[in-house]
Order: sequence, then structure tokens, then C-alpha cells
Amino acid sequence: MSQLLEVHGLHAGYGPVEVLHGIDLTVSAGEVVVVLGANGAGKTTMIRAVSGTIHRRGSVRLNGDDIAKATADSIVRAGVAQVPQGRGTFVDLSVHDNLRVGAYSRRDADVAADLDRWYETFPRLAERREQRAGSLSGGEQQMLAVARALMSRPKLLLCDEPSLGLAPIIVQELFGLLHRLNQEEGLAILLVEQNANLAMDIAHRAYLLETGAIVASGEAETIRNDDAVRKAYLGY
Amino acid sequence: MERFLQYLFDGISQGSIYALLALGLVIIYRGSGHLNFAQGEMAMISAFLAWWYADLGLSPWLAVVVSAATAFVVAMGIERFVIRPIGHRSPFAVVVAAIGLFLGFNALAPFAWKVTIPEAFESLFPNEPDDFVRIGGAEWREQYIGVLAVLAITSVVLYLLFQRTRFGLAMRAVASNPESSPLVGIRTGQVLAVSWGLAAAVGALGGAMVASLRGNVDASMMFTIFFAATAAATLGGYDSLFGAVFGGLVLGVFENMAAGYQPDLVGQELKGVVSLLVILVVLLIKPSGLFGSQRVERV
Repeated sequence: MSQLLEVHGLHAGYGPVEVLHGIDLTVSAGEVVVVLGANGAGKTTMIRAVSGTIHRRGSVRLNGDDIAKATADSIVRAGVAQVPQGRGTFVDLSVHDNLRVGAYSRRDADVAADLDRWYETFPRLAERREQRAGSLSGGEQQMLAVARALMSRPKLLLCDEPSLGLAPIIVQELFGLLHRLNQEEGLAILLVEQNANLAMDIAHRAYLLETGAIVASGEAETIRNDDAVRKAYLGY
Repeated sequence: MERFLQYLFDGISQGSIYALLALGLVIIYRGSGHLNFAQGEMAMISAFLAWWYADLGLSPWLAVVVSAATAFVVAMGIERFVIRPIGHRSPFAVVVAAIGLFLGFNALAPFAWKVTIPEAFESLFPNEPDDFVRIGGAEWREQYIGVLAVLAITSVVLYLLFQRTRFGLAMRAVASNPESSPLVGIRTGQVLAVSWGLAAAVGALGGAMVASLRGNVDASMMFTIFFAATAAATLGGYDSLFGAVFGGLVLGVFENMAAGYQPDLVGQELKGVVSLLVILVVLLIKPSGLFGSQRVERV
């Protein structure tokens, strides 16, 4: 399988504080990869380093092209969308404008068709299309963040703790959707999750991140059956 | 009644100018959260440019349009090469830089054009003694109506730009959430630079209107007007374009009524103090202004 995302020796952090100490990671086309890790392990930092929103060192390649020095906005145009932690919706804009701005990186004629499609997938958003995004509930805002990311028609979707603060039923729905998108359309997903069980259900491969370094990686099944991992992250 | 209408018309005209300047302040504030102290002086320099272009032989209106275009380009450069590099370091540094720009532009006018006394500026609107419309006994001079028309057209153009265009959508997105904007592929820097350009161009229109009403250009022409514009933006809400227009008009009318009906207490001399009072009262009662957003957000 060709590598869609290829990260090598990635260092990143905030100001003088380095959080990631040189990690290696790959995502193939059509693959769902989960990164597990405790609080403070550097999961969010890793997502941000890939999407170019924080300072980083090392090699990051997308379809073979070096994007380590690229700006965040050009990485989006290259086909990587991010569902940021805490959603990051545009709270003053209407639901509809949030979705429209999600397609800002595109210049094709299918934007309207995609809008219809995601309204169909998320009927709650359709009901609230003229409402300010800030007035939506947490779950609805998360749906909006996902739909907005998908509006850019990404090749790779970065999801940072999409289940955070959501009711279990909504989390189920969300992971069901991610699974369908992967199965039916071959969308590659790099998922960072504390809700490890659900994440492992839809993952092909998994990485274990501890204090800024990858300590284990492998097929989702293998990782899942590893006793140490089970105790630490899966809770059984 | 006649007196009331007269104060109303004069106030609306004065307020239109406040509104144009306040629009510029709001456009920049929405994008970056910066208060551009140099907004008034940038408008003053633009008025000098319009005067200079007209002196070089352009027709008066063409000179104004070209000066607005010049202001647009120069302000984009200022954002890119002064404000942005400094803003990365500290937001306070931007305040200092804006004050520096204020002083710089103020000194530039006499320096660049070697003028020390006000230079005559040809009126942009019909301005003969009998060029007025009579409404309910009050006279509304055509040049005052012209200024209001310029504000109206500018407001409509800005509204269409923000609400109906792709770039306007990006500008609203950056105003709402600058951190998330790059994540949908928006070049935040480009949006901010254009915001500065747009603000300067609108300010240039304001400067030209002031010069046209005064009949001259002078380095100190925008001092009190800039102050009133900040009061108007405070009243309307610093992140609301509609608020800027509304605040400008209300302040203009309020000021003229106060000066007109209380000639002894307020009068022409203390008119400027009214804007100070407005700032004070708004900040005490409703700090976000009448139409500003209070950032309510469910989590």
C-alpha cells in the first residue's frame, strides 16, 4: 500500500517546551490509524504538528511531498482536514456558513451537492442551518466540526478526541459515520482517542504514545490483545 | 420643529463622517482585535493624497478614488511589514506601533508636501449658497446629503462584500475564530492585510468627505473626528459594522442636539466632550456596545 502520510523523526512543542521527541508514524491510503495515549502524552500535539498549526521539526510527507515546512492553510488545500479538539467551530457564523467555509479550500462546482449530502447525513444541522453555531449543543457542534472538515473533501481526516464530552449514543453515531466513510469511500483517518475501545473497533492499526514517544505499534488486533495495553488503555 | 430638523440634518451629516471612520476601526478590530490609533491620520494623509492627485490634474472624484486605492495598498503593506511581525511578539507592541504610525503620518503631511497652512480642497458636491433642499423649513445642504449618500453606498458595498462573497465569508470566519481559520484553508495573513487595506480605503473616503466639507486639507483635521469615531465604535460595538454606522449617526445627532439646545452648557466648544461621555457611559453600562457580540457560547 502506498503511504499517504509519512512522518519521520517528528519533534514538536510549544515555545521552549518540547512535547514530541522524534516520532515515526505512517497512514496508508484508505487506512484508519488510532493513536492511544494517556493525558499529556502528546496526542494533540502530534495532530497539530501534522496539520501545521504548531512549530515542528522532522520529516512530514503527504503522498511523497514534503509538507514539513508548509503552512496550515496550504496543508488543508493539499487534502488534510482536521477536526480540532474542542471543536473549533466558528461560533458567530451560522451552521450553513460554517459548512460553506469548510469548502473554502475548494474551487469546484460540487460544493452545493456536498452541502446537501451532509445535511442529509446530519439532519440536526439541516434543522439549524440558519442558527449561530455557538448556540448549538456540544454534540451538534461536534457533528458540525466533522461535517465542516468533510466539506473540504479531504484525503486524510485528522480527528482529535472527537468523543470528548459527548453522550455515549452520539459517540456511537459518530464512530459509525467515520467507519462508513472509511469503508465506503476509502477516507483515511488518523484518530486520537481516549475512548480506546470504540476507536480500536474501527482501526486497522494503532500506535501507543507515551510521554512524547511511540512505545508500541502494530495491527489493531495485536495491540488490542496485548495485556499491558489492555490494562492501561482498554480497561479490562 | 424647524430647529429640531436642522440639528438632525447637521447631526446626520457629521455622524456620517464619524461612521466612515468607525467602519475602518471596526473592520480592523474584527480581524485582529487591534485598535488602529492611526486610522484618523491615515485618513488625513489620504485626503492630502486626493488633494495632491487633483493638483496633478485628476478630476476631484477620480483623485479621491485613486487616493483610496493608494491607501488600500499602503495599509496592506503596513499590516504585512509592521503590524504582523510585531503582533507575533506582543499585542501591546501593536498599540505602540499604531501610536507610532499616528505620529509618523501626522508629521508626514507637512514634510512630504511642504505645507504649513491648510491647502484649499475643491468641494466634491454642489456647494453654491443655494444648493440645498428644504425639508420642513430646515435646510439640508446638498453637500451634506452627498456625504450621507457616500456612507450609504459604502455600507451597502461592505455588506455585500462581507455577506455575499467568498472572501467576505473568510473575513467573517477570521473575525469569529482566528485559530480555526487556517484549518479550513484560509490564509489568515491575507485576510488581515486586506482588512487593513479596506479599513484604510473607507477611511480615505471619510478623509475626503471631511476635506470637502471644510474646503481644505490640514494635518490636524482628523483629531477630534477620530476621537468621535472611537466613541461611535464603542457605542455600536467594536465588532459590529452595523453598530459603527448606527453609532456614528447617533453620536453625530446627539452631539449636535446637545450643542444646539444647550448652547451655554455645551455649545460648539464642548461638543467633543460629548463623545467622551458616550464612551464612559457605554463602558459602564454595556461594555460590548449596542450591537457588539458578547461571545455567548454553549460548550
